[in-house]
Amino acid sequence: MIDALYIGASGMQAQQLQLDTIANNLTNLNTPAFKKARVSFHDVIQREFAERSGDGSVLSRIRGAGVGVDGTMVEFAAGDLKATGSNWDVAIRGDGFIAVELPDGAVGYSRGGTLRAGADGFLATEQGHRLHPSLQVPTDAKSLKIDADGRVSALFDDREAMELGSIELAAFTNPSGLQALGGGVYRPTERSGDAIAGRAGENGLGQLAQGQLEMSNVKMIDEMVSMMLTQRAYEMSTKLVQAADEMMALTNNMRR
Amino acid sequence: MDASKIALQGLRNDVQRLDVLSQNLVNANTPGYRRIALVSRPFSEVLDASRVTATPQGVPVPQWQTITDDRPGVLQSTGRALDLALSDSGYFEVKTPDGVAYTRKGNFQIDPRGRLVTEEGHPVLGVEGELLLGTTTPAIDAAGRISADGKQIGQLRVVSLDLSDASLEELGQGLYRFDGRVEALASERVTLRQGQLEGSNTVARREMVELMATMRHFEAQTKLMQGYGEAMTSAIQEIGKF
Repeated sequence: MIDALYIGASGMQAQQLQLDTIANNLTNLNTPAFKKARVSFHDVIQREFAERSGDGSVLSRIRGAGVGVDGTMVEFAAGDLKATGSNWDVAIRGDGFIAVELPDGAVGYSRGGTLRAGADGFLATEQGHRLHPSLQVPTDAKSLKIDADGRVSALFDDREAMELGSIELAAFTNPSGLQALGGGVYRPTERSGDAIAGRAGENGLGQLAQGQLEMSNVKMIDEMVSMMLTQRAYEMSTKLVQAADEMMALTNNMRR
Repeated sequence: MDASKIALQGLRNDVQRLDVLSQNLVNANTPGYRRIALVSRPFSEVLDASRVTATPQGVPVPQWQTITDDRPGVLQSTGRALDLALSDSGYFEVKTPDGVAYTRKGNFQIDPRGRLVTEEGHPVLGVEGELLLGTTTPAIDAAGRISADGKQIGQLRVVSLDLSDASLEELGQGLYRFDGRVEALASERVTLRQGQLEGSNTVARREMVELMATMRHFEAQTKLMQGYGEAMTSAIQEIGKF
């Protein structure tokens, strides 16, 4: 049948995915530590059988087969830091991730957020993922102090501050390859490479900023413009499907 | 050739045209996409080809030839350090398992080994081979020289393809194979822009106008076929009357 029909359909499908991604980015405009996703497109072609032309040379015909989607990539550009004044909020100023324990025992990575001490005293994220390596806060501690280089101390009313340990940061050769698990936690994959642990402030790693939260890196203007372009691209694809349909209708009506 | 065969060829050409237009239009937003254009073959070629009736299925050689439109597309600013665009002519060289390929799609990444690769994982070649970058945010100047922390760590290889020698063979995914003359582009002539991506070079309005013209042309051919059909019908009915 006419390829244009399927090419147009591939266009509609691709723009649909683009719109879904934009929608997800926009609804997370104010989610702390959210990283926007981007869809990447590529053109798809199909090779056809070779034909022999008059002089014996072989022409292989290449047919366009529309547009394909490589997948969604997460963009790790840093979001702005917002001061919250809470000692339990921590963000990373610069590159790097904080390691956390996932329910299945594997290690996940997060860009920080609001921490809390569980009933057992272990420092964990809001979703309950313990920091890795774990840090235990005494139950009578009033507050926490986190230095820029990662050292964590518990603050008390009646006695001296007690050092609990330090939060190490991890870097990846290709952060865009990390798999997003939701809730600001990412899992390393083959594409991202293994985590390279280090101390905050050294080897290009960022520093810890207590009392701050990293905001979403979604820029509303960019997403709105993308959305308008996507709408028009979708419209164009539907016109192609209509054109192919009309052609087939004309062909069918040749014989009354 | 009778009228029906002429109309049939016209219909076939229009379908092929529509397929090419559609491919261009759905890829109007695909980075690095090069538009396909239909160019009519010289008549002598068509004549020669039709003399040799050796094709087993009797498929006539199409009058049109597909060529790749090599003009630069519009640059979009993305702000991503590994998005590279060439604002003038030239191609990036990429190593695939089947050999060397060329591309203008510059949304590169770092693979787990630290090499600069395309989205599909093919290493991008520098002047001295694969490029090992230690960082995802290098500084790349207009001549393709890559530096990190003030030190130069490599230079991208940008080549110019002599399209009068051979034509580009599309491999999909924004990659092209080329068997003609390849020359490394001199540093002064490379116009690389970091943080920008080259969009498609499809001009939507031209393709849409072409689409409308093709539809009407198709309609005209079908009318021709119908006319021929009616003439045949009258011939059979009238002349055949005894």
